[in-house]
Amino acid sequence: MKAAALWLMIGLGAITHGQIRRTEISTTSDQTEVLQALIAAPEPMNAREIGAWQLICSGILEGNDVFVKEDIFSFGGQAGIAPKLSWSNEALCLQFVAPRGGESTVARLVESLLSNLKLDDERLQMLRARLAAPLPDDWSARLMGERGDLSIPTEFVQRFADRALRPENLILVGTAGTLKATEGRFQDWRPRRVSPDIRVTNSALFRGPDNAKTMALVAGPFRPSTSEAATCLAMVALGGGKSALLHQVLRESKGWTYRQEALLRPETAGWRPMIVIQSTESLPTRTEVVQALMDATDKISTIDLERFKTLAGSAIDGFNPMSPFRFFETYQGTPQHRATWMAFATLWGTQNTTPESLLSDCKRVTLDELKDAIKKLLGQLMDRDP
Amino acid sequence: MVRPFAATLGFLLMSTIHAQVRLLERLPSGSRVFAEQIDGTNSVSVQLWISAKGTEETPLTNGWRHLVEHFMAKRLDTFTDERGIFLSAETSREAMSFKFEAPADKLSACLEGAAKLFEPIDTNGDAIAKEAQLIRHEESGLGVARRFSRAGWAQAFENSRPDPVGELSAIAQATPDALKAIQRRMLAADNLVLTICGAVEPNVAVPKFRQLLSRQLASSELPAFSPPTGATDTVKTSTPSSVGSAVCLKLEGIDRGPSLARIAFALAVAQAFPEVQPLYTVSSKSGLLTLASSRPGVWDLTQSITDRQLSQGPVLLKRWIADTGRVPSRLAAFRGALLSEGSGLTLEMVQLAAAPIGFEEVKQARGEAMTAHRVEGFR
Repeated sequence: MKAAALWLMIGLGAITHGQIRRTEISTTSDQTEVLQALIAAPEPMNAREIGAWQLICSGILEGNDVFVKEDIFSFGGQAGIAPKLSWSNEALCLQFVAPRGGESTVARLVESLLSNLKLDDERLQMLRARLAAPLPDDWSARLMGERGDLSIPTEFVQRFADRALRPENLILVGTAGTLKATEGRFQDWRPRRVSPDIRVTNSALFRGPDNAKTMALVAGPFRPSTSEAATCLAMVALGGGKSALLHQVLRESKGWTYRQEALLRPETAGWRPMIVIQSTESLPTRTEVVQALMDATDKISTIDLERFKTLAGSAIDGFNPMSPFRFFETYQGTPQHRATWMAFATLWGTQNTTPESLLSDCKRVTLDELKDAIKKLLGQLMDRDP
Repeated sequence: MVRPFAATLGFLLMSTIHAQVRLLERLPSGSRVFAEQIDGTNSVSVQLWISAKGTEETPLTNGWRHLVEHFMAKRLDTFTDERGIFLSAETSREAMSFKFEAPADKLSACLEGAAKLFEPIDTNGDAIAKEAQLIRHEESGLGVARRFSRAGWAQAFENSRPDPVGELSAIAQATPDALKAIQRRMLAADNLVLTICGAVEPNVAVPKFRQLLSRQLASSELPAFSPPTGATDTVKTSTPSSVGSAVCLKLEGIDRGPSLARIAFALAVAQAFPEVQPLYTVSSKSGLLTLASSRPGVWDLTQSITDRQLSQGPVLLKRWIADTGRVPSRLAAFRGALLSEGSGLTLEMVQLAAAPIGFEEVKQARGEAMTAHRVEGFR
């Protein structure tokens, strides 16, 4: 049994201390403690607000006036696992793993880094230069989404930070020790009340510098539940392995792509199904892609269904790097990933849907339900380009 | 002045590599089987490493081994998915590797999968043309660090073997018979290394996997592969085909102090500047450490690192080594890469070599980076 499976994801629901939502996970075997903070981005955001959000997120692990970057990695990395910050335009996630006895250190770090941001001109100048660099490739650009307006003044970023980073937006997920260590913290965190910026229209997506072309197709978001198990299995059938439809149809049969992924992107409203494909100069059209996949869906057999269920199992167990289940990165069943799952579950109000219960639901999906779910997804897919 | 951290000391004590049960066996034919048990994991990594010896590429055959790798791996798409195993494959200048990652109870299935790699590939002209198109897509999607490393290698090592991804014009000339001949020759017993790491008992795993390699003929018993020759037998200098910049440092082998100091420097830079991506393939021979970014002037960035940031280098280096020993896929790759070069270097030997690396050594590496190869890419 995988070590991570010994972790019990307890559906205690959100335990509210003041305005901060706290959810506990527990372990029976590990020598480490996890503390994770999740903050969903305000929505909707215009280009200036996205720019501010990106500057704020990218600067958190750079430190503040209390903890410089080296302190964060030294004090926060004592379990041998470096502190981690993951962020998208939807949410930010700050995670520490502490050895037993190190709970109060990581609790203090989380409190300090989120409630005491360093956003002066010098820091923002450095972050602007970093964020303004071209993304390494078109693929990363598609996954990152819209790039914000970074020319915004320092005051705007500080103002936006007060709007976005607030106790009522914070979800803390951790083991009993780390959560207990956060009690009494964040008491003095009282950001100013500020009103939203004036709305403007969306800006265009960033184009990557290399000669690869990437296409991203998205469908509407959903929240994981028993009734959505077929949708989850459909995503596995599309991209959860090398025998899945994207690999076999788009790459092996059509020769259109080398890289193709189906992924569930965590957003404020739920998991958003996304298909990303990469090719050279000429990409197939959305219609061609959808039609080819529709044709292949009709040919799915009960043998295929069983294989997709095996793939779903390996995705939940953490042995499947092609798993569509994502929380910033591919879900691998580690204690840290389970903490991130629970943080989003708290945000979505789906704490009862654990990785294990979702897998159990996936295993009950019939062949017809799977085909219907794939076709429904394919029918919803829209080009992500404006 | 460097401030000592109590926390850092705590980490160093934790990161000591524990002695783990391991077994390395050399078969009479020259194949090697290595297994190591890693505590606290329930997964296994089974990796077949195949040395390029005897199938070294020329500009006219550049990419043919890569084609062979594609044809060998694709036959296992359904097999691995049905069993909940993940297979990845990679071709480098020195070796080709096939890596099976699975839960511990799938060890026999990994063995079955590895056995399928030995079956002769079955291909034809149309299939080769289609695969060449996929390699074209693959080449166009290479990441920034890989692109700059490719360009840096051509600068740093004149007359070295061509980049293993391949040259599309050469790939187009490959024939089914030539690819079969390459596969047959590269699977010579003395080219093969099997590494099995994770939740395994070496005394059980090694005999089990030994049988797989014992059937293979040695290179002396196989016909040599004769690549075509021609007038245009020169290596092309790669261009990055990417926007940004890179610093490329030559390394002399993973167990050498100066090499480890440079790696420590690279890790410190990557932590200080997240936009910089380090890339290095573990080797006992000369290699290239690339620090790449999609921003221009990465060399200025590497020189702007503060002493405080630089002091993290030795800590990060030791963590990198310790983590390698804890993760089945990383340990299997580490030993596989080195054994396929004929090197018996262990992680402990590298750890021992890394022990004296401190701030002064990393600082010296920063100075060396000033005179390193610089690569720039433009739109």
